[in-house]
Amino acid sequence: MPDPVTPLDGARYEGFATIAEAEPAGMITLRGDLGSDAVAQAVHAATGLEMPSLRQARFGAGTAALWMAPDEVLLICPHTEVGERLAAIETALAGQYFLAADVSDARCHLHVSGPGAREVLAKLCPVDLAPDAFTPGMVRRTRMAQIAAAFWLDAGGTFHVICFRSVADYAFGVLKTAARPGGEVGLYA
Amino acid sequence: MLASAIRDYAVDYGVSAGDRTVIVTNNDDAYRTALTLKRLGLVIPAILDARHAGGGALADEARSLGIRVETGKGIAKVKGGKHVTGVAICAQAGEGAVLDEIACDAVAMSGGWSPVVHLWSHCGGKLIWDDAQAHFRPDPDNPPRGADGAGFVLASGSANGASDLASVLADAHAAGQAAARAMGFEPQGSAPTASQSNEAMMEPVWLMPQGAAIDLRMKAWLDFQNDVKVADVQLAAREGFESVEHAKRYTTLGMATDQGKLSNINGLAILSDALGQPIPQTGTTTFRPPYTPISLSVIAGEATGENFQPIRKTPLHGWHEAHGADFEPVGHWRRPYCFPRGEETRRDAVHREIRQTRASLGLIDASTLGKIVVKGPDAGRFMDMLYTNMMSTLKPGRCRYGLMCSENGFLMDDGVVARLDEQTFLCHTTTGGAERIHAHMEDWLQCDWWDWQVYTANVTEQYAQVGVAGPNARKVLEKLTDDDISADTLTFMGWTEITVAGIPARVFRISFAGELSFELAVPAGQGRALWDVLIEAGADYDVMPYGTEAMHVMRAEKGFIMIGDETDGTVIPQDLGLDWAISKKKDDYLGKRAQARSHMTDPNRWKLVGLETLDGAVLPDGAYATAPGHNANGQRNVQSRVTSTYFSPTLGRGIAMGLVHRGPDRMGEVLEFPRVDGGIVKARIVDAVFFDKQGEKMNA
Repeated sequence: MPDPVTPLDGARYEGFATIAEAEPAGMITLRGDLGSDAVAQAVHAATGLEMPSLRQARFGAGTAALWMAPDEVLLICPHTEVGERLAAIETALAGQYFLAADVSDARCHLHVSGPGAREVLAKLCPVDLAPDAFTPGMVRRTRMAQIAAAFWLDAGGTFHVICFRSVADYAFGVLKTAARPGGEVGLYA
Repeated sequence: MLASAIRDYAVDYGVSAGDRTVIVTNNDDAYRTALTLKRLGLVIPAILDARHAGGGALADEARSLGIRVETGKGIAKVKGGKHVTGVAICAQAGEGAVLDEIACDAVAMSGGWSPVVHLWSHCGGKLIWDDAQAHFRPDPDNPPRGADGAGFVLASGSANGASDLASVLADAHAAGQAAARAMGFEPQGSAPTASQSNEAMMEPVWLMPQGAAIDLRMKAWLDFQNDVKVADVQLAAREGFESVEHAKRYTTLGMATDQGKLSNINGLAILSDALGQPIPQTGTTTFRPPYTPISLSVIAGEATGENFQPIRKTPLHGWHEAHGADFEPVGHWRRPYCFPRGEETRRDAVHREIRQTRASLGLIDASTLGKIVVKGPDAGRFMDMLYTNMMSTLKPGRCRYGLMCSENGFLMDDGVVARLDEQTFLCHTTTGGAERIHAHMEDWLQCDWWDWQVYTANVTEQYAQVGVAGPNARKVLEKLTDDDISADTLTFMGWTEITVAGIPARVFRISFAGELSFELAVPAGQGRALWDVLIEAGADYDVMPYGTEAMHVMRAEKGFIMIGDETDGTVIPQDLGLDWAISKKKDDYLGKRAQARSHMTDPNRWKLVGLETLDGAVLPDGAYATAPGHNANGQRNVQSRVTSTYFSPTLGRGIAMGLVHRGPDRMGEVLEFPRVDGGIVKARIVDAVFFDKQGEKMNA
């Protein structure tokens, strides 16, 4: 498999928060009965992680398991390992009713970091981003300005934003605008 | 101008609205304007007080300064065109007979005050009519209530309807104490006091003079921003717009940037009078923020410049931009319409792209096509319900063109379905249909067939898809892959997995252009690399990228339909001669029952045929063919509508498709299509397939 190509070629912007395209990662959409042992085992087989609960993100070394919907999780793994992790899911769920698809190239993945990160996202998404309301390990599917997006907060305080690849320029553009120096509101200061 | 505004201009900004200002009022506050202007050295020719008894202490003060004060008087007319030159005064109680004329440059008017109830009303609080003060004020018994049913807003002072300083202070103090108690504190201290002012009561004046005849009412403005007059509101009432909400929208009263702050109460009073009912019975529209105007940029927010609207870009967008693509919007996508070279016109570019694809090799970016995976033990059953065709019999490795109808039988989308494995289908949708069709699938699965074991996933953006079309399509691909894609192995309507220049790809042997054609789907990030090697390897065949217009023309040459051209939400597959794609063996599919209704099976429906102009000209798009006679509205009867029409560079003449009354039964007949600019285009009804009727090229 050739080297992965991300939509924004590693774009980066330093405002009162830092907006940066993430390194390529493998992404697998898994739909199934999230309450079943079999699907939990498949998630574990693919990521080494427990099944995330409602709006929860779980993290491992280079992996993550993100709750997306009552019957859907998004699994993240190193880009080079998507094939084998998909195979692990297929094996774990052989004979079961599920859907697993490689969506590693379907999305744009951005990091929003720095002290102003919460405020940048709060400007664009109808989500309560107060420090005590949105805490590390939470994931939210939402709207970012005019596009569908999802984000989660990792243990290090970095927000991970994903949206569809075709609107990568727009996503980067609105995040850049929201992080422009002089635009600080100081809501969570 | 409002008397208070003239006073603010003079005091706050040192601006004089006029050398001579006539004051007209129904309350004492306007006297303050008169006194202020007088003390600034300006001239007050008269104060016209509509009240018979006139004002209180302030009126006496005005008289003592030598200002002429007329009570029980009003303004019959304001004189002047571009600016005020004078007023004609009359008795307020009369019908407008002019008693006197006074020269002036400005008129300061005051009709009394209303509390600012916007925040209270916006939060859900109710208002009561205060007859004595002639205004609506917050109803303390009906405050805005929270989830627990308790009120959560206290109005105080002027906002609560208190008018003079002493009552404002007393009311505000009481409200403050109530708020403190509600918070669990024991309030202390007493209200500051103000001396009782000796002001006369305001008297409501809804129309001046009160007996104004129609000629005066037509010039009696209520809403100064939207030019709504007394006569307009009375007309609204006569026309039956009796609800205040309807009267507002009929007249635009209160809909300007002041949001009715100047006009609403006066307008309600006029409406009530016209309806013969008291003001509280008429009620109010809901007062809401924004209380002060806000700029459009506040509403637009970040949606400006490059962030105005999300533009969806395919993985090949950058190449298209760099190579002069002339883009067109398709949904939020931008797709190349054509790739003009040098001084070429769009038309020339499209024709060149078609000729080259038909003669040798063309490439199209098909990444925008919707791609939805349907998987599960019940996937075949589900697909059979979604599509009119039998999809469950499709073999893995094969593709089938399918039609999707709404429950009402109308054709809503089409595309090629590939069976990936026993339990998995990949559905291609139209570019604009991806999200809609995915939602349609989920709707049926979640609401109706919730016990069917099927999952779907919209993987449209995971793939870049490139169409490689033309007689040399296989040759160029064979240069780039070691896998077997020979005509015997990868037959028409088959698909397989191959590696192209090191990139893993699914290759579908399907054709929309009517040529030997392969569509390659690769991970989106590899799309550009694939495109680049195809352009490079295709150079031997003078490969050209082609845009959406060449695609449209080529599919029309083949008689292939396009959703949105041949369909408009009222067309069923049978109208388009697509009976071959409707399974007769299935018990059911979405739309089957609807298509059995009498109107749908009526032989008089308009059906798709080809249209060939007698002189080779291009039919106007959307043109109707006339039929003998006229309809009930005196319009010409019609019998056909053009749905697709192009100049075909392949055939060197105009080609078209259209829906024609009993079309397929009338082959060879000539129809007349009037042009918008006069004249008539004659076209013969022919088979819709204009080019390569046997399909030899795409089967090559």
